[in-house]
Amino acid sequence: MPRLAPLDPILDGAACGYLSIDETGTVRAANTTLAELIGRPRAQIEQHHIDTLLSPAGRIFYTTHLFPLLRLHRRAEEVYLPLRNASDEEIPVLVNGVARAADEGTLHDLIVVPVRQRNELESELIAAREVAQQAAAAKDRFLSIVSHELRTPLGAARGYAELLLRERNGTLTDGQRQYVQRILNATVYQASLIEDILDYAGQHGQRRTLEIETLELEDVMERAETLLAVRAGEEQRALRREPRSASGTLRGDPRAIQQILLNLGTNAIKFSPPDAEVLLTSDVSGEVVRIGVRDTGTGIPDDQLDRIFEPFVRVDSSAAASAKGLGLGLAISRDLARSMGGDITVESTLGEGSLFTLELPVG
Amino acid sequence: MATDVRQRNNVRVGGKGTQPMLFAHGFGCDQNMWRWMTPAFEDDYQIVLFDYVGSGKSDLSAYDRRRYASLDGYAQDIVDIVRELDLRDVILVAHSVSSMIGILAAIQEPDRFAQLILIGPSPSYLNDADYRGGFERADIEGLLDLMDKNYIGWANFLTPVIMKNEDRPELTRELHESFCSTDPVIARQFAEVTFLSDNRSDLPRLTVPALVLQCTEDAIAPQGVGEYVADRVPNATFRQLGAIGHCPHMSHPEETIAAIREHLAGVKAA
Repeated sequence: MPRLAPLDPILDGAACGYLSIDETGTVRAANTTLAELIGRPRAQIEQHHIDTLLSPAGRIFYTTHLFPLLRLHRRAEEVYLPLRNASDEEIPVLVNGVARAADEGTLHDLIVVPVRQRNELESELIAAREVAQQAAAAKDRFLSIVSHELRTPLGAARGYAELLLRERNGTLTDGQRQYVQRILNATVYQASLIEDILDYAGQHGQRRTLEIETLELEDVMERAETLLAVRAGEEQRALRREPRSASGTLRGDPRAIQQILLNLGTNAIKFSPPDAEVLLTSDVSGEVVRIGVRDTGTGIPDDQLDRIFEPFVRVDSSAAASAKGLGLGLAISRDLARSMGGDITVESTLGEGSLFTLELPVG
Repeated sequence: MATDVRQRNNVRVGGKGTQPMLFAHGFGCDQNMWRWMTPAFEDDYQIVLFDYVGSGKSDLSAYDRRRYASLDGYAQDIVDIVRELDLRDVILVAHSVSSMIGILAAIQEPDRFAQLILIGPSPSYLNDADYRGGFERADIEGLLDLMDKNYIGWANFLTPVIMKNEDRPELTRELHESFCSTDPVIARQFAEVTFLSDNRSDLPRLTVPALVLQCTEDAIAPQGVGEYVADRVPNATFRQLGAIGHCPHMSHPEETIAAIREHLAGVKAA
């Protein structure tokens, strides 16, 4: 193989390594900067195969990624590739390359920049990501196990409380009935909290499959109104729907949509003052269907608006402090909305109330 | 599912002939790698190109971690394609890891394949007792680290763990713009599956005739490995290429084309 003409002095001493490789992988030229980086004279690099400069992993990556990229795309940018120096140590470098037509065929010209410090930081970043992933998975598993363990005895408590209330084994006094009813209410409430945890952990561990279908907006609104009217009545809040009827269709899983609207509606009822009104709205514009749930509660401070969708976060306010819950409902709702190709947004004014909007694709 | 196979695997059909020649790309690339080979066969064969799910312009949303946790999942892609297109008498031209994938597919559907052309095959990349695959486990771990470093700049690499493979439509769009690359999570799993699989025991089960093309100074499939394959596949022909490297179909297409033509002409004559 003919030796190339001596390198231009600017290229030879440039502040980055330079390698020119032919399509068989033979190094046809290397500059002095690269030779110094590798700790080998140019003569031991030129006319040798690129493999001799790479670690085994680097060889695989060069062959399966960098070479095809240069051959097909004629260009490669910011490719991380560990070189190997004369003492067999890895030298992390970033490579940019272009393919160039030359008399002896196509040459791949590579510019090589050592990135030792940056590489250490990136290694730490990748390790931190690994730890975070494992921690998140462990947390989900833990939540799920704990919740299952809690649910079983709770089912027994609930069942026996119901049996007592049926008075098959003897009549209860009014006082006893009241106590048993309270036990039953508490178990029912606690069971709903555990369902929330399971739902949340479930979504992050094994997602339940959504069944996306085309739905009439009117059906969705009517169902939500019926379900929420009961809760509003129990809490002495009024529920109003505006406009009274809706037309159009949307795409989503009916169960998930119902779960979201029930959650948003229950929150609105919970955080509105007694006798206040909760408003359900709907509209279709372009490709998006919007279902709004507006309350007249105390509102959410600006600095907390972003956080309320995070799991286990509850708004710091007197109204929230007296309300019950784990702070999982919004996290679950937004995850569900997003997995249906939609989203949940919120606007809020302190002292006036909040508007949560579920957005879903038009059907 | 069957109706989506063409779209899922970005199947492209061309050529003027009737006998199908199905080209299966290797790890790290997509069907574009065949562009120097296919023109030579267009007049005489039906040319079928595809991308494995997770590669090139395939439908990334069809990627299922469990299905593609072994080469069998990739073999199923080939089986799905030959069934969906009802291909028979297929000449499968497979590069690198696709050689083993193709062997697994041909074991499952022997009646649909006429010939396997295996370019740089290796049934196992790890050294084991007296078998020299060429790599140690630490080398493969080094490769996975190296891939992580290369993907660190990608939009989704450091995003919260909440995002799972199953539904990331926004990602699919973004990655379809990139060239010769896949989703980092998928690429990493493909690397693990490719380089940690051991399919040596499958070789004797292949009944379809095969041509093994062994390159010179191949950094991925070392010299003895091609002979190992040819020795154990019952009906195999071994041919040494002068081509240096692991991608003769890209670096030395003329020699590779000539070797395949000669082999197919010989088969026809016999």
